[in-house]
Amino acid sequence: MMETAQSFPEKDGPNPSSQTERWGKPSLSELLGRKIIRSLVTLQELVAFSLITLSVTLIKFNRSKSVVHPIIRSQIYVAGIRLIPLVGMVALMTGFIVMGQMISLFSMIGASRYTGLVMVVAVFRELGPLMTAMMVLARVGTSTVIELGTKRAMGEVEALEALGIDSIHYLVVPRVLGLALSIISLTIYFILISMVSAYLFVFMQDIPMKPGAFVNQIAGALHISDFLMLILKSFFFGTIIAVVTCYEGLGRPIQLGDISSAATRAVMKAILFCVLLDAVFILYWMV
Amino acid sequence: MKTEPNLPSSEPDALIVLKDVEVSEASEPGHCLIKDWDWRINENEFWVLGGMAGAGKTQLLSVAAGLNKPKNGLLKLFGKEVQQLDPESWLEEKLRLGIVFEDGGRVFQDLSVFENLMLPLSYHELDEADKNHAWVFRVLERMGMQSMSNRLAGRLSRNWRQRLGLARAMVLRPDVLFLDNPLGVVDSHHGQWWLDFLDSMMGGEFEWKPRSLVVSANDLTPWMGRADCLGLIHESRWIVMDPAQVDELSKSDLIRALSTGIKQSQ
Repeated sequence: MMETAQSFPEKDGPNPSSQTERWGKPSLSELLGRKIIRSLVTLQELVAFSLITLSVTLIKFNRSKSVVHPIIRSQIYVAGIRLIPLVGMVALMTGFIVMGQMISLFSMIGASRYTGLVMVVAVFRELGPLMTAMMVLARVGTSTVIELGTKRAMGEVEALEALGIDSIHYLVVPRVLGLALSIISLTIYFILISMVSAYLFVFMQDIPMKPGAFVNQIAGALHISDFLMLILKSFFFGTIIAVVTCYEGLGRPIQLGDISSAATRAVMKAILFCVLLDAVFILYWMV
Repeated sequence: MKTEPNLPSSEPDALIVLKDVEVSEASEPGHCLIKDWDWRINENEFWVLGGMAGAGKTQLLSVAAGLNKPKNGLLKLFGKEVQQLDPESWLEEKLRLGIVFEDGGRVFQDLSVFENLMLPLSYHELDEADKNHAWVFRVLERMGMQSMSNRLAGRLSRNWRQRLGLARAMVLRPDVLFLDNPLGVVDSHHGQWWLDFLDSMMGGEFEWKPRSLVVSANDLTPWMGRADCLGLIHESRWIVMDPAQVDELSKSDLIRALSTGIKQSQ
């Protein structure tokens, strides 16, 4: 018999100081410090995950087209086409309740000439992209975490790697592209429905404003940069939601029981990052 | 029983060589399962890797099958050192190794049986679609799963999922096939099918067979008459034995413990 003598590494014995640290009550500054360090580590991992995804997208976009491109199309269907009724309904409500009332109020105080500007600032720049992103996050982002987390917990990701299939290329890239394209399209759809429903409210309130005047006011308040920023903002919202949810599902080993908390974490992080990005865009418009 | 250690060499018939390799627990990188591990898999060998449940067989297989690069030591696949391979060459060599995971084969549950088999072929753009379809159907037929080709893999029982895992590993025609505890979750009827199929495949009755086969098992009983090399992992030690030396094997407490057919747990 051939034996290779091995010694099992001894585990470290209990360390009295670490025991004290473990059971002692940490101070507020310690708790705060730990929280900040954990957040920074998570941010670093998220940035690394995003960069890996970006490089795989650029390098492998045209590889395995027969497998990956149909998944991108199916993601556009799941995150875009299937959400049209929901986004349409919310846009209708927003136009009716928020914008319609605002316009009728402006009319009462004789400030109708600001209607276009308010529509552009409120719907085009803010509500449209942000509300659409939140709807996609709620409907698609959470299910993405659950789907990918289950795959990770069931060992399917290791099975992909064993077959030489790049899990980022196969699972993450289609979701990022699908969500980004879907949110751009849904945002445009949201804005159009909101404007139409806002005018319907105005029309029903017998406010003297012709459709041509309403459209002219909005067109007058719009600039080329608004369109560019709308596309950019929606694209980044989609990318943030996809990257954060894919990272929470796939980025680290996960057990089936941890998936629900991973979904909650993903939603919170995605909202936080989207709002932060929104703040950056607001700064751009203010400057 | 072999008196000489199974040391690696650079002879051309060595398909996989591991030298001074350290393997750690995947979920606990600080927990070393084995150190200075030397193993060599040659052409036309049928290895059985035995050990108690939790001994680290899966981790050892995953390193040898190229799923995880070793932290320390040397891993050579088909004469090439993996540490020196660029990603493209690493992928090429990895595709020459197939693995069937334990506990239901880790099949892609949201894909159909047919899609599970077509995925690796389509992803790597191997061969033409018609040829791939024909090959996949021949594999499915041999697995007895042709009538299930449109069923979702997640709807299959563990017995059939394990078989699907084998089919999926076979479609890429790997040079070395690793089976991680293939009889662990299957019932006796399916277990007998596995043994019969492996016998016929290694006997050349199917149109393809791997150049070498490695099976891990908690229970060595079904494999003792089949394998021609036996490797054991026990308490972080790697032990190589010759299954033909029945008298020597019978003296080993570990072999007796692994041959009772009773699942051991730590």
